[in-house]
Amino acid sequence: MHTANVTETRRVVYNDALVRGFVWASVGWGLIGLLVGLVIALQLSFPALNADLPFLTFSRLRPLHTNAVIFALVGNMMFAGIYYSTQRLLKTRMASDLLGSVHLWGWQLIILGAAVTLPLGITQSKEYAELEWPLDILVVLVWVAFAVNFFWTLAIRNEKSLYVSLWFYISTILTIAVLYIVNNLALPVTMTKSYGVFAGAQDALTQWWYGHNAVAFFLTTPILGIMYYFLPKAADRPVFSYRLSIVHFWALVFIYIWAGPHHLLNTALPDWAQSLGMVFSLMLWAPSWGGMLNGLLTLRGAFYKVRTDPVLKFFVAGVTFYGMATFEGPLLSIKSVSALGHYTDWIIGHVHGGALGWNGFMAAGMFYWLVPKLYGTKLHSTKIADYHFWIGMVGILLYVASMWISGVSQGLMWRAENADGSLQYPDWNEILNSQQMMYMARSFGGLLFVAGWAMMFYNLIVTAMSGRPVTVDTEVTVTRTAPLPGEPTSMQLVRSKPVIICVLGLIAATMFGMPSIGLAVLGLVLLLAIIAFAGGMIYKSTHMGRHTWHEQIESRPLAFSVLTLIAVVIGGVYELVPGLVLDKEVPLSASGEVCVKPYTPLELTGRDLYVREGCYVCHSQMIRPFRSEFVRYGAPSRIEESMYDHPFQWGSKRTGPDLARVGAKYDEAWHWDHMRNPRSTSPASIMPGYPWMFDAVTEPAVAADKMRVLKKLGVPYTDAEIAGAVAEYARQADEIVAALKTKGKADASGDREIVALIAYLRRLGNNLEPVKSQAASIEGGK
Amino acid sequence: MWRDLFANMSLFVLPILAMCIFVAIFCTVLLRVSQRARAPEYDRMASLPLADDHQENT
Repeated sequence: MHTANVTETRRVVYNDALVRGFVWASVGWGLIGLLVGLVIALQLSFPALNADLPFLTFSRLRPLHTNAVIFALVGNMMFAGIYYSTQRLLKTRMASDLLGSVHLWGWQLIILGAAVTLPLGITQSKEYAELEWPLDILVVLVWVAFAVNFFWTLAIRNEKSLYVSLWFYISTILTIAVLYIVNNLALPVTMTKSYGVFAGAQDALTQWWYGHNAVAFFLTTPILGIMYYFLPKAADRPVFSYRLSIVHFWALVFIYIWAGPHHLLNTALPDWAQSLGMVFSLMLWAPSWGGMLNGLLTLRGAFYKVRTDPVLKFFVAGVTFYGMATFEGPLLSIKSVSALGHYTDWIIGHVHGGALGWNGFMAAGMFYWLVPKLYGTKLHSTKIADYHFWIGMVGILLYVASMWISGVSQGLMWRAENADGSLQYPDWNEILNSQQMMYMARSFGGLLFVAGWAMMFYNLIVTAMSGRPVTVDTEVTVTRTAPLPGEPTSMQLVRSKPVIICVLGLIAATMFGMPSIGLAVLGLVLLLAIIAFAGGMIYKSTHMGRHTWHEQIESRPLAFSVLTLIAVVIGGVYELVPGLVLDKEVPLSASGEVCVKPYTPLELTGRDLYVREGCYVCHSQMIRPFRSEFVRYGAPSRIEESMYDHPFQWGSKRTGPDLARVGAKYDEAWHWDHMRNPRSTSPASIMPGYPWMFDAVTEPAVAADKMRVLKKLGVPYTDAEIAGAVAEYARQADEIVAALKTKGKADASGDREIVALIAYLRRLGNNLEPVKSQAASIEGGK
Repeated sequence: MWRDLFANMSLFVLPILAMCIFVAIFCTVLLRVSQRARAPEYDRMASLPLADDHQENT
């Protein structure tokens, strides 16, 4: 379709110093992040390992571990792969060395900031979005530098067509920007404390829209882009099916974004939102496996190389783990499976299959291929790389299998009932400790993986030292094509026939999903008609030998980026719609009032301490509507109970029991003893003690500032309540201290953190009258 | 007739039907893209990662 092609030769010097920087950052930070994971895994067997130091405690280190692996190990690896492949695929140097350096060093500064703030308990308590607002702003600025540099490079490229890897990079850059900004919208109280703009169920939806898609667009799409570039290079043959990669890309970016609510199945979230998440999660099976097969089949005719080439070994195993994780994810999204697996170690096993197997092995394969090239030498030891592979593989399998066993066991034991309907395992610690063998196996598996990573670190350092940093100075052939008269512009492509058909299809599918049989049938008929029309159009164009539409957008970064953004935003809007209409789901009293009172100043202070200590890491606050959960914890949680919770604390893991109704279960003195030394009240507990909270004093005056900010976010505090916050704080604290002193806690003092925390824990489950009466009536009828 | 059909139809049929449509379309697309006869159309694009192997001078 193009005429008057002009071919010329240009000299290009690639900026590989940037790639080297990100490689070493990934390997180095990765080792630290994995070691932290090993330490906290061991703490589940040996709680004393925290030495009663707050910054070594499981609940503060676990967010550090997840952030380090996601943003430091995988993030830096991803940037290394993106910068290396983008320059070569576009036949040009990155547009700005300065922006590249800002990205490299700014990203390391963020990681350093996380490494300092998270162990100090400075956290938003939203998983993978724990960083507080100053660091969030830095993340956005650095991401903008990365995005500007990337799109600027696209603009000055010497290769007209964008290879599939670049599509995945585009989707990553655009989507992560949207996700990160929306989920971290917050109003600051101090330099180290802010409140997110969303509360309760809205916050939960937004957080898991982000959390799920951080996995999708940070841990998956860029690594798929890397797979599509580095796997063909390592195998020395083109990707199995370029057409399949087109389907893989569009199906994945469109469907992934809808699946977030599968993290909230069987919770107080409206049922239709849960079902939407489940259905789209199941749909993800298809594109994910399409991508996996495309990767593995790229090795067709070259599988014999896998025996001897460690790079291919890691890639093949990595892609296979991708297939396993993307099979297991949708499986866990089926409501009945989620009922068994959610909150258990099964989820931990699932996550590590993806993180260690897919991300960790793809990173290792890429580094073993890349470092010798970046230093103009050969890999120091193929044998050590082979050992790394096998040690790492055994480590992952041990880890994942032990977590499967412990997870399924936990799920079954939580729900096991005797013939009379009572719980077969009412003692939580009996369940937990029955899995200790599995926890030891998990730690050993983790140790093996860390050992393998350390071997790689050594191997790569010796490799680099045997060579020298290479500056690639090359000549590229550039073909300039003159556009034909009448060739569509980027924006014409955005509103072309295929896009309109997709939009109409989406409208028809939405009608099909409406709770009206007439609309559903009409939507189905329309859907079938649109599919038939689209099929006919494709057949006709095939018959005429025209396949130009996708080729056209492949050479238009603007059109491609706009369409990608539309594909992603559609799912985001649909998923967040429940957040905008949730108020309608909140039952009101007969007088039309919501029967929930905001937290008192003391309870609010205690709640922020609960957040600081990361209690949500091991305790949920969401009782699911199952009989076994009612018997163990009380009436199912209701959506309005957390309506003033900034942030929500529903949690995602139950290493300890659910706390949604713990308030009425234990008195002040029990919490006092339990928080100082959990073994004093529960001899078999593996929870760490929090003795520092008995010495640290609070600042009641800050509670008023917090209430002022929360009022701006819609929590109905009155001016009088805010003005009297300090007095009310002291009054309630005195009450608790008095109760403690009657139980012999003579050293109790109202200005200590522990008193505020006890006030919050005693409030849990006591903030909604209808629930209390419902629980009483069920109890009475039993 | 339609009224009777809808009145007696289980709503469960609709999502099953939707899933069947999705799977059918996906399989059709998969078959279509795996037709080797049309692969040459994308040969140049698919070979892009391999192109720079022959260009670099270090």
